[in-house]
Amino acid sequence: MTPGTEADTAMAEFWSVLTDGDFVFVRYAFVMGACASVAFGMVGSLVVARRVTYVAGAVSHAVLAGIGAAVFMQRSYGWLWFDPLLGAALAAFVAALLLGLARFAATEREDSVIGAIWSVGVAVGLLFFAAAPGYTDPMSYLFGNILLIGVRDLWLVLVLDLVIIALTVFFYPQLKAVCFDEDFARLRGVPVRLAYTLLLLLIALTVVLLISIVGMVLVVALMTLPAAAAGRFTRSLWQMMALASVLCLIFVTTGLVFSFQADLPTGPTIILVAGVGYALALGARSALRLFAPTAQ
Amino acid sequence: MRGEAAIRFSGVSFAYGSTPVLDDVDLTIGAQQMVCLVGPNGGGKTTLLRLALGFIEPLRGRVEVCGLPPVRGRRRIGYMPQQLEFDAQFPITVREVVAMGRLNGARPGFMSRRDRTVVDEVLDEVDLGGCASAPFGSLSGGQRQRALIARALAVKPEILFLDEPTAMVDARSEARLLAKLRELHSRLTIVMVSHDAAFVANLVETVICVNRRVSVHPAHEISHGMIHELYGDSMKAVLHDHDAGDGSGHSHG
Repeated sequence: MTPGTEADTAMAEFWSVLTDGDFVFVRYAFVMGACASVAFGMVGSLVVARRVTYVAGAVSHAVLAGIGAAVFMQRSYGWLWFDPLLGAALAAFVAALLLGLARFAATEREDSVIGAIWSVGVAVGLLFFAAAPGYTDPMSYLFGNILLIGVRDLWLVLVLDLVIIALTVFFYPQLKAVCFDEDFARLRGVPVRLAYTLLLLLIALTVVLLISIVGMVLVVALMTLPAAAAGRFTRSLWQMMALASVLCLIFVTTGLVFSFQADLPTGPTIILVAGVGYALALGARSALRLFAPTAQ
Repeated sequence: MRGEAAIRFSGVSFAYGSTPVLDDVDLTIGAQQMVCLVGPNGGGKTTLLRLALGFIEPLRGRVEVCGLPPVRGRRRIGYMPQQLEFDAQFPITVREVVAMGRLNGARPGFMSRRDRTVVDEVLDEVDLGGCASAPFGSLSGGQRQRALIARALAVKPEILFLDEPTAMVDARSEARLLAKLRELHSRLTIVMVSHDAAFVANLVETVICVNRRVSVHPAHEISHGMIHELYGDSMKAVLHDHDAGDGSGHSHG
């Protein structure tokens, strides 16, 4: 069989799975990819424009402490209501508030606090996993699996999208001003600390709900790579948000198809596609500059 | 109106940690005065601006802006920070930068028609109407400076603060700025921080030397000896040509 025929066969097989009622989780994965792309594109653009990728990294890693605590409590004390998602949300919000304090109130260097939250969060999570009865494979939390999501996850991400869109539309000028020039925003009466804390909470919410797709290690990549690629071609924040959402959808969908065809783990495959997309965006921007030197 | 206090510092002291920056400063800047703060790095010029903007609070003493505490009075200030503080890759157009001047606290939603009119007016006032849709990061140093002045003017301020307005601009842009500031002086109090004594001497009436304490001098009294004493070094040469209308009278040392 020629390589072209092999690819055609794999594609046909993929489409048959996509339309097969027994493989509804594959359809869920694509719907999730589409919904998540809105959140990733919008919040990711704020993260990239404000240059707080490391803050997002700290929040995403701190959630392991909450997930570990939830797993430990469920198994050791029978607290079945303490869902790992709830634990992740609590840990993310605590991390976001600590990072907000580090930014505005503490005398400690902000980057040191980021590093501490990042590493201590992971350590606490792993210790909870070790202490919990039975074996827990942290890999599913670290790298996620978009093929294991259910209808509840889809609804949660849809609600997240609505919250993000509403907050961004209503407070777009304030968020943009705080990201671009905090001092001037303060001068115009914008509650800068509240706006920055809102940004941190949006990051936290996005991280928690989207960990199911690519896991906590890779969530930052999907939050930043589409936005960074979009930033090469856009001249305002709302354009960056729109293009980043579209790019994210393309990366996630392409990654899913590749992972299915090559039988590879979905999370790393999606991130690899996003990385290639980002590199292509950098190359395309440079090429545009080369051929149109006056167009900046 | 001239002579009323736009900014008043009364017995103000400030320190960053254990490093004193300002010591018992008394200073009054009258309404519609144009003054320049000069002095060595770390002397306290920018700290004075930040105290008046309410970004930091004095250890001792009181600061007033238009008779109000800075946090309330600062809405009347149009502030132009140094260009170096901006991220050139930030995705924002010139119009969006200028529109920040029309921000009104946490009021949600889009700009009103009046806000849009003000933004158009100030863009035209600084001759940037044609670049309104251009990315801010793509502008030259002089254009960025004009965009930031437009943003400060969009506030419809009573007081204009300019932090190093001639940094990163060429001689032509500097002459253009000189003319613009002379025009604005007829309706605004202007306070600027500058190391460019040549620019200062051609423009302002009063120079405020800041080096932990302040001393106020008419611009024509500023001499090489005074600058050397203040900075411990030389800076751009001063030509006291206050009648020069086009800014061409100043020289550089």
